[in-house]
Amino acid sequence: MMSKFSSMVLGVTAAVIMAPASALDLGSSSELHGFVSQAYLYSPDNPYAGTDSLDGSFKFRELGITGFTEVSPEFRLAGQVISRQRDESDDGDLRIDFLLADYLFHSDMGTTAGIRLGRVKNNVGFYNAIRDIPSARPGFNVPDSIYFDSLRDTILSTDGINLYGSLVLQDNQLSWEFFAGERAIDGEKLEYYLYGLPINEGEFEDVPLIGLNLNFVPAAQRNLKLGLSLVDADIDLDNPMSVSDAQMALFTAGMGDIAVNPQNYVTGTSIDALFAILSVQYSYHDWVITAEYMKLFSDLELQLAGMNTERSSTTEAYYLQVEWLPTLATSWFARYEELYLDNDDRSGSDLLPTNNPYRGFGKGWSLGGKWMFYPRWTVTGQASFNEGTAWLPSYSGIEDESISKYWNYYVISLTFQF
Amino acid sequence: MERTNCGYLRKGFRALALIALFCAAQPLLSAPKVILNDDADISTLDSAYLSQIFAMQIRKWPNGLAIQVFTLPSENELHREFVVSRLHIQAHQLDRIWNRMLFTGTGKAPAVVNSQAEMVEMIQSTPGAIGYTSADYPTGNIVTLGDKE
Repeated sequence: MMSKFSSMVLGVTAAVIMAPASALDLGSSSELHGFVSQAYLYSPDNPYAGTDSLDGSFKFRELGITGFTEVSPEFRLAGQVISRQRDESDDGDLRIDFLLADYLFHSDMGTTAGIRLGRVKNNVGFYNAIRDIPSARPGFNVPDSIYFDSLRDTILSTDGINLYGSLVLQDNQLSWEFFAGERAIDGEKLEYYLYGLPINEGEFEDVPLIGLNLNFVPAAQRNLKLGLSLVDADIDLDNPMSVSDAQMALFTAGMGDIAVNPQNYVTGTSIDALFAILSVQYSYHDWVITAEYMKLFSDLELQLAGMNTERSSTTEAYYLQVEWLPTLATSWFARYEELYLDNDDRSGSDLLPTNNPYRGFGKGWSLGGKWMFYPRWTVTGQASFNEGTAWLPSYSGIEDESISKYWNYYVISLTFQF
Repeated sequence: MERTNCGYLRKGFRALALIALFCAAQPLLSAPKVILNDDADISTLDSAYLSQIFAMQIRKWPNGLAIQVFTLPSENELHREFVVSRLHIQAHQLDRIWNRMLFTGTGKAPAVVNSQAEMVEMIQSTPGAIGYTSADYPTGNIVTLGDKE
């Protein structure tokens, strides 16, 4: 997997290095931008991405450097490197957020179409592609309900092909994007999500993704934007524990242990997940109202010590957010949201055994604001009041903590962007 | 005597205020005009196409020339008026679109000029350039597109 990825990266990088030579002739332009954000997060009720936050923690930092080169109006290259530290939940290692070559092969007054190759951010809902960009988020986080932490890795970006375009029909604007490829993930969050605990053997590595994103702006009301996103992800557990090893372990521990510690006997997992998100945004003078609704249909095949179980479930989430931009430098927002991991079991009581009985659902209010107090410098504040822990970020060791049903977190952050 | 004077003044003031209001409202009556470099080879632009251009979602003119978009700073009153009256959205929506494109690798923000004089100069000298000025700003023989697209 690394070799495939490396060769892709090398290919695009080579193109980037070669670009300036032709750039001189074609009058290309390049720009470099970036951001640094440092937050202080206090989560007195539950450990948020680690136990430090219980007393308040500064271990929340994000940096990013982005650049592009326009070789011609048709051909451009762009890349971004980011580092994201969220205490124990994200380590702050530098990673390639996107790195792509973009070719616009058709453009007239009615339609455009192009292709991007490489690692491209997935436009899923209004916020997936910019969830790691502090200046593009309404507050400290994108809405927790639809963009919950467990699946962030899975749908963040795609290494593959991205076709895009737009068409204008009697002044109505439709833009579309289709993507297909693979996403290399760090599977531990998915293990917590699926089993409540990390498993002994096997990992989730490459996830094949296919997605479609449509956005529509009607001629009669340009302040209205409607969106539809569909993403299909096939998640398979690689190199799981062998059935004979699992049966041996079960024999040693006693048959009853499979019900108590199922995560120790996982011999296979495969999930077919389909995300569907409807998005609406309406801007009226200084106000922006945004609502999104998600259904995630998943078919889970779980094999425990050789025994197959199948389960289909529907995850449901929505939020309603109101932003007010009273001056050019300030904005305020309020948001209400809900998430149910299994719609047929809204309390989450059927989930695999865990120390955290409230992780099946989440409901919460968030209030916050941003103030650009000096050009390029912004201070952001957010307070979130939650019931249920479906979007409490997991980290290695969260199973040892006692988890509360009602929990709040408070964040203040300082961002510099150029 | 004094009273009538006051009343007279008040009336006069009201008339003046009305005239002032009318004058202030005057630029609002005719929306900012779009100005284009000759080489863009364009004589009409429909409204959706125009908003896509300023949202930086169209990269070249039908004749293949790269589109070079110029705007005044986001906080500039004329910019805000242009965005509302010609693009039919709010200025903060444009800012967000540009920021999003920059940090997802799919586009960039337009070039910013600081005055209408600079705007006119850049439109004249940059092949494929598009920008705007207030309706009554003298733009010589530059291609302009008025209220009707």
